[in-house]
Amino acid sequence: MIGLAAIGDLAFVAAAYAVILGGTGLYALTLARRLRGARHAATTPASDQPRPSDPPTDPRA
Amino acid sequence: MATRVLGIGAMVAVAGATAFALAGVPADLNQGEAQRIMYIHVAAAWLAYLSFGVTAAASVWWLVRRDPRADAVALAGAEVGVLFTAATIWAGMMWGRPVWGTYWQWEDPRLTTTALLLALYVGYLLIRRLTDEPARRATRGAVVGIVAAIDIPIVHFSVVWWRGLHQGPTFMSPDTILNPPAPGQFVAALLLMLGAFSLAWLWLVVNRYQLARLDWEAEESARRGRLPGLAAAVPAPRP
Repeated sequence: MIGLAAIGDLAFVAAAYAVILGGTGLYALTLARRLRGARHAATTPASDQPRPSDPPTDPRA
Repeated sequence: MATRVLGIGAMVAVAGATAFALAGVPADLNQGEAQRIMYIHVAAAWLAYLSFGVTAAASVWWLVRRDPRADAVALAGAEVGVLFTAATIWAGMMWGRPVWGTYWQWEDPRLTTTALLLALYVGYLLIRRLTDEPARRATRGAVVGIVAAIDIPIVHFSVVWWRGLHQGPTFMSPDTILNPPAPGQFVAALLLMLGAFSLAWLWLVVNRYQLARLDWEAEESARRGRLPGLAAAVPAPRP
């Protein structure tokens, strides 16, 4: 029973770690994706960038 | 390339430090397995202090020099600091439940001032969203970033100035740093986690800084009309 209690306690600790590491990882992934998008936009010529007045494009075309 | 190497190194270091904290060191005699949460709690707290210190210094830099890089550093520090403060509070709550018997106690000065710290910097991020004009946004953010930093020493010394549930600082004087009142394995796990989290912190701050710089340049370009489509989408600054 003592062993089971220790495993339960360790699982509680691991869950605490998982939330922090998972949250940090999610933030890092979001940051990397946003940075990649911003770099792409910065290097794309202005004439190639979509404008708000442009009509929506059909993805099947 | 350098940031990619840093990112991979940070991931490996955090994984190694976590494995050591969860399986490499013995459980504490009194606190049991819950003691393992301290390694990530203390590391996150120290890096949260560092983040907001960086924001305050960069805010002063902005107000003095009006350098866009300063605003990008301030924003990066604040956003990453909010992440690490939230991690600190979460880890503290998860440790407090088995050891103190409660997740939270508002009467405790350390807990309450840390919650206030989180609220201040969430407010900092929200205030930055109130205007699209980069210079005005940076100035407002800098003022809040400096004022909010007053809470950092209050959080740190709250356990010395007032009595509460939270224990006193483990590492306070040079004497306790050289002769820590904890077993060597525990200190090693803490320092390993601090090193690994520092790498992750650096990667996050550098990437957030770079994103802020690109955002600033895109806004400035749009305002100058280099991108006609974007210029139409971004409102002109108010006089």
